[in-house]
Amino acid sequence: MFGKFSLYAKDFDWLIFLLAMGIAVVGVIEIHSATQYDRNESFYLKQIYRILLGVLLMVVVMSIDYHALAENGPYLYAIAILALISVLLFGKRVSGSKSWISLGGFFELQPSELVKVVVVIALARFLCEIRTEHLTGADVVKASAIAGVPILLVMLQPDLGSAMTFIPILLVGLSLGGLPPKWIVGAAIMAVLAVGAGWYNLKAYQKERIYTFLQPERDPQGHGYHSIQSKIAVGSGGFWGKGVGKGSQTRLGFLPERHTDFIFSVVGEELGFVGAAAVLLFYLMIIGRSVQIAQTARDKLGIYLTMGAVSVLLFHILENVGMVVGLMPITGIPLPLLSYGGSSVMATFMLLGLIVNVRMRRYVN
Amino acid sequence: MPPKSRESFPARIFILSGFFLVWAVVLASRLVHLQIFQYTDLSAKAERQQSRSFEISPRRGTIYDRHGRELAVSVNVDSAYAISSEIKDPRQTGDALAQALGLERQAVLAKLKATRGFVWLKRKLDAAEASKVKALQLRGVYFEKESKRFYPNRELAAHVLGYVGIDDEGLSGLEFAYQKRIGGLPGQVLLHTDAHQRSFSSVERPPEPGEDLVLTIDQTLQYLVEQELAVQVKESNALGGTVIMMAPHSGEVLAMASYPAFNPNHYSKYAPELWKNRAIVSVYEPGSTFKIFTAATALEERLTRPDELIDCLRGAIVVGKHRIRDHKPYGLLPVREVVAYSSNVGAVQLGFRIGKERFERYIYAFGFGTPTDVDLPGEAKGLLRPSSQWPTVTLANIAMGQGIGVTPIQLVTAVSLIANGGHRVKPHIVERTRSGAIEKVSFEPGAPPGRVISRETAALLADMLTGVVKTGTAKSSQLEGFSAAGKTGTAQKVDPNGRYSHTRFIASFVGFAPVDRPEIAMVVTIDEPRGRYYGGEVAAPVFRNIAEQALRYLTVSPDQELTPAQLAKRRPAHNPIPDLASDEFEPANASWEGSPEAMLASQTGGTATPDASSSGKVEVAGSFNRAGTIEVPDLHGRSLRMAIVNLSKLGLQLEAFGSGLVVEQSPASASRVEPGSKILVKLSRRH
Repeated sequence: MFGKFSLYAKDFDWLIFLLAMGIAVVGVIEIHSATQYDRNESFYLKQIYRILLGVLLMVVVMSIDYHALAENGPYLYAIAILALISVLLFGKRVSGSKSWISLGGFFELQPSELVKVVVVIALARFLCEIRTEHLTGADVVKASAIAGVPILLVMLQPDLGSAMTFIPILLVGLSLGGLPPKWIVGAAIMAVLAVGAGWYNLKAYQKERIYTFLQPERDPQGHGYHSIQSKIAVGSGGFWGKGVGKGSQTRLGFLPERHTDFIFSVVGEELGFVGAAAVLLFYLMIIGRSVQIAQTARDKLGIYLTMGAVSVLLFHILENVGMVVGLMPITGIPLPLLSYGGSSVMATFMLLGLIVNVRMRRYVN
Repeated sequence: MPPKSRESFPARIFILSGFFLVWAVVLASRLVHLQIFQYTDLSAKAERQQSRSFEISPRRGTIYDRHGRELAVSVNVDSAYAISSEIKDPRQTGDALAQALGLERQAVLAKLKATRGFVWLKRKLDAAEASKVKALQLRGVYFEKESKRFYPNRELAAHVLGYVGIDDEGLSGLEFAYQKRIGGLPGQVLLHTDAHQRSFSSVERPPEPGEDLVLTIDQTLQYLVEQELAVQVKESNALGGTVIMMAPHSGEVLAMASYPAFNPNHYSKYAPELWKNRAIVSVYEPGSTFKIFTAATALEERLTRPDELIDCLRGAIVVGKHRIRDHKPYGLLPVREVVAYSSNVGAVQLGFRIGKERFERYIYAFGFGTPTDVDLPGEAKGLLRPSSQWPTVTLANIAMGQGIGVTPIQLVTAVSLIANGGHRVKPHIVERTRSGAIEKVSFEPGAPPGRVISRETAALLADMLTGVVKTGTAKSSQLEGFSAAGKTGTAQKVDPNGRYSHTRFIASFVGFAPVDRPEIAMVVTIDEPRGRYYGGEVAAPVFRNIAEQALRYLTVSPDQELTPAQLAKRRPAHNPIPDLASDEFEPANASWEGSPEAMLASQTGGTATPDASSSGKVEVAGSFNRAGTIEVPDLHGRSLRMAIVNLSKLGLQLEAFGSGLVVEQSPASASRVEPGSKILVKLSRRH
């Protein structure tokens, strides 16, 4: 017991933890600012509870040796798939998608967020056992299947944005596992064909989204609205920002989803370039630290787990921030640690738990 | 694990990290782009879509008469504006608005299309328009309360009060002259628009209300003066006319009227010609009324005496190449009769005795040739050339009131000087200003009034002018029960060819009453009367009609027994002073509909009748007795008039000594006396 605690104290990654908490605190402040005129709910308080719960989950995840976690990967995976199916069956429909499941009317969960953690573990476990320099075709198919089932289930909700967040786990895993060069070329061709074929299968509103992403000004009051308003918010923040609670774009409700998906706009408006760049730097340091952990990991399982977790976090950050500044199309993907939302906060802390887990066990004892 | 595989990991991790890093750099540079390079642009966009600011007019100060009756008030009315970007279908909305507001369809549409943001649709709507537009419940159309000027008595004192423009800025009269004091400071309203295109306004800076003005004008006297003036102008088919009534001791203007008048609530519907205040801007040759000042100068300089005989040369005198005539050939006339019969020949001879420089000095001292500085804008200074440029004939002309241009206000100010015993007074209309509970005296007498002529000269003149009224050209100005002094004038107007007209005249009268203790000084001018045109026929009766009623209203004790002739033809009170609260008062008729007052009433659910408290009842002179003894009031510091008013209400009589304000009284205040007792008061002009 004592040994275990001293292990925690000595090898716990305070840097990642403090960076994460720093971002989370900024998140709470900006959620409060963005919702200060909403009298019905105190979002920021709820967010604080979720962060505390997230920290608890992180401690739980890092306490269990990651080998044991990987050992139980198939069971976790099975539970995750069941959860996704039950969402489809019993889920609550919110703005057209069944992504939420209500736990006793008190707590609402978005299982797809938590499933990401499981997919990271399951893929890592599968890939680490491959001993060849490059992956074989069968490996790629199997790996794709592991990621593909949850992707399919999430797409059925339908929540295209969330479904996409699983893909980076697969891509990063495959890249690390070693794709033969001809496979990469082949995948590229397939991708182009898929995009071409997919285009005809896209619904009109999906096409419209892509058009407006490429040129938001073509529909400033409609599909381009979010993008334009977000850019105005960020841009009008300037170098120093308007100050916490003084973001007029935010306060007057020009920003949609301001405390969830577009929280980074609020950061940009109220804290300015200084604040936004600082938050980005924090993220970058977490990612950098994680990559460093991957490089010093004890085994391949550690590398896959860490890099899988990194891929999820990074994809969320890049897509969300990219969307806020008008570089990426609008999808309902939250910004880890900053956006309001219990499932996302919990999933993020669990992923950080995985990374710290690998770091704490980097020495063979 | 095979070492081979383990070693390929760092490279792959490195490549992946590099890819991520590139993305991070792209994001960061995008932030720089948006927040630093596009900052100005985007924050302007944010500003534009979020807020617009506009000014709202402050509450303008109320203008009261000397008894606190409202002459000009400000009421809150709705102004309609639109936020164009919120209007989905400008054509349809524009049509509806045009109909409700009585505007041109195209004009409304043009307004809506001119900007995406804020635009006034129509300001200061009347009640009907406002309720119509409100009933439409149009998206993107809003209302803001603005203050609208309202003149409850319509034409009453219009030229004195002036009028305001759409932005509540004073454009004429007192409204213009006191713009800074009564205008207040406009407030700033910031209009926020949220993402759902709902607008809400927040007051950035509240408007500061303007100060109130309390005038020396007495609404009742003003009404009386306007009535009598209008009647006479109409009866004599004249172009117009003006009357000024002044308190001769103080220079307070009690009434100032010009006819034709206009309704300042709708000033723009009248010809600009009607806006001008004849009392201070019209410059005319005074004619015979000016002989008062010729005589005054000659008497003051001891160049003559009232009973000195002047040879009026059987009606003509030759000055250089000119021959000056009288309307009747007179022989030897005492100076008092030169004035009474208005002999030009006599006046010219007095003028020659005075001489150019001396006469000029006196003319300026009487207040001619310079503005009187009454607190109204645009006052004319009259026409007076320097004496060094006078040919001899000019001296002769001026002595009989030609070759000099004066304004009615100058004339009444100069005659006040004779009435009050020789002191110059400064004419003024605003007595004090009020800002909340703080009262400020607006008129400062400044240096003690200068004396122009001695008390004796003034008394001699008063006596001479009384003679004019009793037996001379101004007999028609004789009052029932009161002594009066005055002089008529019938000046020829100048034709376009530069010669004196034989058909176009200005009939005038200046005078004061009662003679011994004057309460009012007055000037009456009637411009181009048709038919009868002599001042004695046209202007003097106006003086009489006004003065008789005014003196009774002011509860001045009569100082004359009625003559048998007067008693015999004693008329029923011609033109009784109206009770302004009653329906007989003209503005109370159907014309009230659509006025802001009516709107105000309809907004509060009341009926559209003028506020009785604002018009005030006229207190008619008369005393009433009460059983038992009466407590003597404290009269200290009151004017003679106020003392009389107070006492007569209680059924007491007054005997006064001196002039000015009450400094002593007997019996003392709070003692009890029998009804009808006499209270002795001593007045003094000390400071």
